[in-house]
Amino acid sequence: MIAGREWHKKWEAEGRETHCLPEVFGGRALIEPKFEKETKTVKVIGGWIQLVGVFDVLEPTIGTDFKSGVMPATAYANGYQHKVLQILKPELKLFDYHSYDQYLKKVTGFARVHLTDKTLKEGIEFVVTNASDMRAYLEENNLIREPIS
Amino acid sequence: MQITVDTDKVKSLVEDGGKILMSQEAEASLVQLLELQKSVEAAIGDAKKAIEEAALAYNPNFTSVQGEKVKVGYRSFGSKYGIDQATFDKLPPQFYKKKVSYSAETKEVDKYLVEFGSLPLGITKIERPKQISIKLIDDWGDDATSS
Repeated sequence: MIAGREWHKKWEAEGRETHCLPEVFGGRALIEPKFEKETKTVKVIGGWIQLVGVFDVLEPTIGTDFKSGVMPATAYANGYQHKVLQILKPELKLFDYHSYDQYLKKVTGFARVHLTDKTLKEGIEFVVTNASDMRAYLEENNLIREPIS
Repeated sequence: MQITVDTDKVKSLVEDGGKILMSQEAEASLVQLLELQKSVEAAIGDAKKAIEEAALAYNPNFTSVQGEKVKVGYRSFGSKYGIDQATFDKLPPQFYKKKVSYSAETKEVDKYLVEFGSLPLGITKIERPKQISIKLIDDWGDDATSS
C-alpha cells in the first residue's frame, strides 16, 4: 500500500507538470485537469449518507483512476468504483482505469467504461445498500449515537 | 458497405429454407441466408479491426471498453509459450509438464460390442446429438461458407 501511494504521488506530480497523463499510461493531453485533493467532492444521499470521493484525475467529462499492483485495469472496470464516483460527478461520461504492476515493472492495461443512467442507478443502489448494512452494524454494537429516525 | 436486414424477409427465408428436403427451390433461400451470414461476419470482423486501430491509436495500453450492452476486450488467447521440438531434449524438466491422453479405439470397441452385447469395462458411450450443418459450395467445388 505504501508503494502504491508513492506511485500515485509520482503520477500526480507528472500530471501536474505536463498536463498530460503520465507517459507510462500513454501521455494523452488532459483537458482542464484537476488532480487528487482538489477533486474532493462530498454529497449527502438520502439525508443520512455522506459520500466523499477523490479522483486521481478529473476532466470535464472523464474521470481517471490509476492503479498499482497485480490487478489489471479490466478487473476494476467490472467493479463498482466508477459507478460510485459517478454519483459525485453525474456529468461524467467516461471513466478510465490505468493499471501498473510495479512487481513486473509494466503497464497491465487501460480500461474504459461508459457512464450512463444505468451505471449511476447501480452506484446509488450499491452505496445505499452497503451504507444501510454499515449503519445497522454500528447501531447494534452501540457505536453510533443517533439511530435512524 | 451497407447491410440492410429485413427481418420479415429473413423469417420467410427460414421458412422456405426448411423445405429443402422436399423442394430444390428451397436451396435459394438457404444460399441467401448463408450469404447474409457471411456479410454480417465480415462486417463484425471489420468492426473489430476498426476498434483495434482506433483504441491503440488512442492508448497503446488498451485492454477493454464497456458500455451498457457491449463489452469489448483486447487480449491474447491460447498458450503463452510452446515447446521447441528440435531442442526439447536439452530442456530442464521444470519448464514443461507432460500430458498423457487416452482415446477409445472405435473399431475394437464396436467389435467387442457386437460379440458380447455390452461395452468393455472402462469404456463409456458418449451421447452425440445430431446437428444440421449447411455448407455453401462455391464455383470451384470447395466449401466456401459453412454454418
